[in-house]
Amino acid sequence: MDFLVNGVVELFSGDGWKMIVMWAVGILLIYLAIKKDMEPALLLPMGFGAILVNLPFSGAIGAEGILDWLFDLGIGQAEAFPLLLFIGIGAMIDFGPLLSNPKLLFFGAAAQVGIFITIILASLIGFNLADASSIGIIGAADGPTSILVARTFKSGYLGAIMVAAYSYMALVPIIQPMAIKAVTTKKERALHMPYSPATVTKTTKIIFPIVVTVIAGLIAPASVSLVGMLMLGNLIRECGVLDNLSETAQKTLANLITLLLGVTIAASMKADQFVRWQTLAIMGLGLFAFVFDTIGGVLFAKLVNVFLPQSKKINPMIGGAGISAFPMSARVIQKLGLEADPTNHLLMHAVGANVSGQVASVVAGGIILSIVPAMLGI
Amino acid sequence: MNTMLSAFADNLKNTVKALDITWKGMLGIFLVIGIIYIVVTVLNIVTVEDKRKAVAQKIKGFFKKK
Repeated sequence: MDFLVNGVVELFSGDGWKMIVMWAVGILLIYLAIKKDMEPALLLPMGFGAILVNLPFSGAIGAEGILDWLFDLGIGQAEAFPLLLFIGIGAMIDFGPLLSNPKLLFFGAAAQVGIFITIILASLIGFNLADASSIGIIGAADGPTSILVARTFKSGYLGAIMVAAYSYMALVPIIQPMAIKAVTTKKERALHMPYSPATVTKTTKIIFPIVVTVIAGLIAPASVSLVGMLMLGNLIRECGVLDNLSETAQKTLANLITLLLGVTIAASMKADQFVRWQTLAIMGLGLFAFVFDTIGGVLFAKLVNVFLPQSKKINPMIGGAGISAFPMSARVIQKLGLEADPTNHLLMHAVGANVSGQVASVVAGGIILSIVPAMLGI
Repeated sequence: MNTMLSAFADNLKNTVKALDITWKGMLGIFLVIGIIYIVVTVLNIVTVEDKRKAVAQKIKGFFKKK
């Protein structure tokens, strides 16, 4: 009759307590998904999966386990799930506000600075360069890019990095207002920006994804699968002859892959690999990256304002929308603008900067994948 | 103590490399984004007739002055 109590005995012996910690993590993720409505499509399966893989003698993991099989197939081999998800994301994005005001592209670039500051900090506290780069890329606010970089560098912290990347994306409405308020005054946040969109033709919208893929592919070839899938999704949306496919990519494909991705990420949340001090450090560094991305974007906007006449000044918060968390970040900026002045509508400008963050974060990932291996000789 | 110092020295070496990654990375991102910006600006001119005509007019005016 021992088999009836084997699981309970295992749980209360040796490192069994770590599994109980992981149950708590799982329950926390499920709580955030259900009660706080934070990225529920992702956090709920992740939370449930965290419990699933941390049951003693769990049949969901190991050579015959579904989660390890899904992980190997969907993330381990060619990063299929995150890349397929990018097709859906690409199909959801309307680059119109960005194309009508392409200057906003530079805010996406500036808001990647948190990635690099975090790489420096992570190196300083003892992570090797490959791991530090994998941790820094959490600041891209872009799950698939984080997974690609961590997987390519064979980081031992893949689980913690994925959890940090996706959790903080869900926490953007909490993190960004604090960071923005720390570096702006109410007067700055209340700054109005007139919205007069320039005409963007369908031809431009069709050529844009192709051009971005080619440019990013030529300069940062490692990013081409990410950029390519994102832009393929966008081309499907904009071409005008694949409406059904576009809708499928935006809804069915994105939902299905999000579900599979969420539960698959959990396969890397095994207690023995997750419950260690480095996980806490990674969580802290991930938060640091998000905060400094936002601050970097805001400060860049302030710098640009120095050179602009009074009538053309940019609300510095727009710089903070240059992170990849779309559309949460744009919504945060709109809300903060209205909070400072109930007539201050910044949504369309923020959306432009936010989608530029999508492009820039993928480019940042590709550039890190090009620079770091060359530096490490791998 | 020696082990700690050696670990700290390693961390410093990595930090210096991280600084190198930082400037190269930011430069690379701005370069790619800059090229995309130029292409989008050109596309916005070329594909909108009014803007195309206005630019053609400006170019003609410039050569007439010369």
